[in-house]
Amino acid sequence: MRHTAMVVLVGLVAAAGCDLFNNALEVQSTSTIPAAGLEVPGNAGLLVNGAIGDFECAAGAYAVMSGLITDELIDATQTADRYPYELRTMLSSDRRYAVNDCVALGVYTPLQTARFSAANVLSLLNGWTVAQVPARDSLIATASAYEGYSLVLLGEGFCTMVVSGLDANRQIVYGGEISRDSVFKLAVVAFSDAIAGGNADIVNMARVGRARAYLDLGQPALARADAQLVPAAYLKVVSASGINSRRNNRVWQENSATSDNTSLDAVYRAMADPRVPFADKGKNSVTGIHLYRQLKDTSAGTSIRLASGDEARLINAEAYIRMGTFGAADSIINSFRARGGQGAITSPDSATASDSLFDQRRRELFLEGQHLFDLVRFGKTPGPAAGTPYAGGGVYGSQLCLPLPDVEKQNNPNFP
Amino acid sequence: MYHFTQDLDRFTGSVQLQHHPVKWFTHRVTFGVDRTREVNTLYQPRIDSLVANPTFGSDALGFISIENHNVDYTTVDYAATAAFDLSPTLHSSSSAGLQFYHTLGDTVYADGLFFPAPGLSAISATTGPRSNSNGTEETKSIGAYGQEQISWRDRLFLTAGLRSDNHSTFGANFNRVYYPKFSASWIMSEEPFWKYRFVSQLRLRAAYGESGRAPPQNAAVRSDQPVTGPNDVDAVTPLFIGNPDLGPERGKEIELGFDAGLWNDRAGIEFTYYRKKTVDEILLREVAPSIGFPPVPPGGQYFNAGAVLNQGIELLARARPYDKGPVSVDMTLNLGTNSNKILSLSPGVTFVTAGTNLQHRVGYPVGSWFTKKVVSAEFDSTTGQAINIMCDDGKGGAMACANAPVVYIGRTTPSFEGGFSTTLTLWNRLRVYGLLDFKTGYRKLDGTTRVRCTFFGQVCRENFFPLEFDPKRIAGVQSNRSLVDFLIADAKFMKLREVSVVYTLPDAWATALRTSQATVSLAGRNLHTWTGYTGLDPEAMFLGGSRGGNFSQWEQADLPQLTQWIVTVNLAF
Repeated sequence: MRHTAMVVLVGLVAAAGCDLFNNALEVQSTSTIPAAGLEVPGNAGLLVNGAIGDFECAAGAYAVMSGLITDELIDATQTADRYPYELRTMLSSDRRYAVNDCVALGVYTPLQTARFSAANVLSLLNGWTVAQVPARDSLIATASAYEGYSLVLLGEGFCTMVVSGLDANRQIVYGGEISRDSVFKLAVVAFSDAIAGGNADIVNMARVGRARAYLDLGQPALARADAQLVPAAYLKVVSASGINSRRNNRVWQENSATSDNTSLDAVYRAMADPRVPFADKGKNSVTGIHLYRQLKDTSAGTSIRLASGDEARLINAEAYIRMGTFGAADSIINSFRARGGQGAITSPDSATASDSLFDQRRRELFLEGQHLFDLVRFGKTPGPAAGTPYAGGGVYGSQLCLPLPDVEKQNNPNFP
Repeated sequence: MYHFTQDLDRFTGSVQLQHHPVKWFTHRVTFGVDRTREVNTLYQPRIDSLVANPTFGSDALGFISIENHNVDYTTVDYAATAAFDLSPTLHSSSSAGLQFYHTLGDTVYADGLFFPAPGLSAISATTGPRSNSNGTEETKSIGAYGQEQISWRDRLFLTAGLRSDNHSTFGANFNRVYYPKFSASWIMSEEPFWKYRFVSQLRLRAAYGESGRAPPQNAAVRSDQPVTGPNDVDAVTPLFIGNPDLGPERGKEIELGFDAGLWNDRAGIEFTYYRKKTVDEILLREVAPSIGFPPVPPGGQYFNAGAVLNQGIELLARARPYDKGPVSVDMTLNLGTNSNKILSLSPGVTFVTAGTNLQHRVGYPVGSWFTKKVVSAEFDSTTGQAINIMCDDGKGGAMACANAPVVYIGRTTPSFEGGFSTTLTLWNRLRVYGLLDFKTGYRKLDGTTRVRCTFFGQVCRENFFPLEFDPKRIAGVQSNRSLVDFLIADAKFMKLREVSVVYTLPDAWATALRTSQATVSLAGRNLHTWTGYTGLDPEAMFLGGSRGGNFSQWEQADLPQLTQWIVTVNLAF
């Protein structure tokens, strides 16, 4: 009997061992993908799509963030840590802008992730051959273009920047603090790589992007050289869909019939311009702000314009003005004024032409993430003026760029 | 308007097979299962009458979220023991075993906004944005051990053992780990020389042991997360930076103590001093976002900190000071102290950030508060502003706050805690119980004051009557969030945790109810709090968002511990 029991016991243990201890420490990973198995030539397209997806989500958050800092949107929530955007008083110790994801209106981390995703796949693609990845050159151009746009938004949105990278062994190399101009120069390099190997769509996207970076660098002739090569009908968008919140149009998420998170500023409501469509919601927010909703981004799936022939023409006009030939800008400005039902003008001087162009850009590119750095380039200040009380509490400041966040400085070995 | 529900089903079970093939040898195998099925639902119905009210806004259009959370723990535990008498006074017990642990967690979440009409409650009936998520976490570990215990006259016990573990979450550069242990226990009061009759039992204890903790799942592996990409195609996004050098932490602990029973066990004391040095302690740090990965959970990076020292005492004292006739009184006091200090981090690294105003810094407790500290300020009654504001320069002096460094403000975990309870029993039928407990030596971020003083109309009293307050506090309130040390408040408290009365009904009543015993009780919980904490409650926690966690020491607009009154009828059959 004892012998039988012993045999049964040993048998049970052996059975358990075979079943449970076979590959005993292998576990399921159902929601994450180890990079080692992912970063193979067969996944090159997937990785580039990842870089684009990261950028699109980040760009949506950037459009809302820049709308709040400028006078496009007014924060109408009760969420206190959003207010520094609206108030233009962001501190490097504030967290939302620094660490939140793009759905929750973070901008620093999402844009850095987008930049890194593009840089990472570029590093991989440069180590693979055309035989391994037949579309290698095209993918390099695409990733370069999106890396360039990530850099443009990082440069336009932040006072200073850190650009970390990968060395030849694909080990992380932490960057130090660099100026905005240095970021724009990196963007120019990325766009140049895109132009060198991309198809017509990517080349035009990169030309608009590089022209924008050149304008930001104060190099209008180079900006114009790129801009005038872009076809008038060209359009590149940040795609969106209703499939999930990450893919939603972020402007719509923050201002629509079903979102009372933001309202629209009086400057835009007074434009009576079809390019700035809006409606009165007929009610106030809990903080007492009367709610207006924009009608430009009408659904979760409405795409946001990223680069276009129209923007190229506006860049061309700005280049004329910066180069001292402001008269040449009038025809471009007037073509846009016609879209808004405004009559033609003849600019008497450069300053007037510049003001007219600034006005057309804020109408034409309404809620597209352009207005923040327009204010910087054109030397304008948004309303309400610094010192004005805000309905949610506090008073407005004058900040037009976000500080490099503490979470970067405190975890980057290049900062003492 | 808000309906929170939670359904929880839990099943625990085990099967044990024991075998004694010979008198001196026994072995057993145990199969254990612990299954939890949890469904959490938040339902906000559509209420048309509130839709136009700005206080409610779109909240009144309705919301539904459902989260199913399943966790299965499976264990297989084999143990064998061989026991011998080595001599008439010496006994040996040798043990060996093998253990397998498997944890599988699964979470499915879905929500939807806006019901087109009142009465609807299904996610499929929502017309606004919907979201969903699903995640699985699985870990496995295998351990084996051997142990030898020698006892002498059942008074002196010496034990030595060695344990080995391997875990699915160890990094690629780590493999199996070994943990030794040694202990000695001496029942001194059993010795012939023991003459102190009032000490009915005295046991002296000493132990040294090493133990480990495995990293969380996938913490070692650089990994991406699937997402929907441009034009809704497949894509991935970086999630964890990973750490291929991540290994288990190893705690090396010495415990010294004694257990004493006094006056025939009418009183007793259990005392333990512990000193635990943890090498390679697993901590979560933020990462620089410029490396492309989310800096905070679900991102961040687990790493092995060089060494962390924990030491303190634990004391339990119990006594029955009065026991006469139908009346008896029992009292219990427990106290615990903890001193926690990071001895080293990674080579060349003196600190890493662990959350908002939180750092792991060498020489300080894990997860300490660090921020600029205002040391002096004056108030200008003409301008209504704090002026001449100076901050701690970190060297014992003061300097202008703009360039001042962040300095240590305090711990996030209590350094001293305990409780005191008393039970009065009358006629063996009526029992009155009271429990006081306390925690001290830590600080909590008062987020409620933060938003009241710096946002939301700046409605806190400091903004209207600044002369009533310390100018240093006013300096913080007026600093536009740059000086927040005044918000990281001392959170020590004492709480009247429970007062209860339990009455056992007379046997005749129990019989009439066809029960073997019947009791009725009334208990009040969280009845009073003594604290100087400035926020709502020193035990309230604000979790989630980018401030999620913060060692649970961020409190903002959360419900304090509610006073509860509970009536219980207990019938035994």
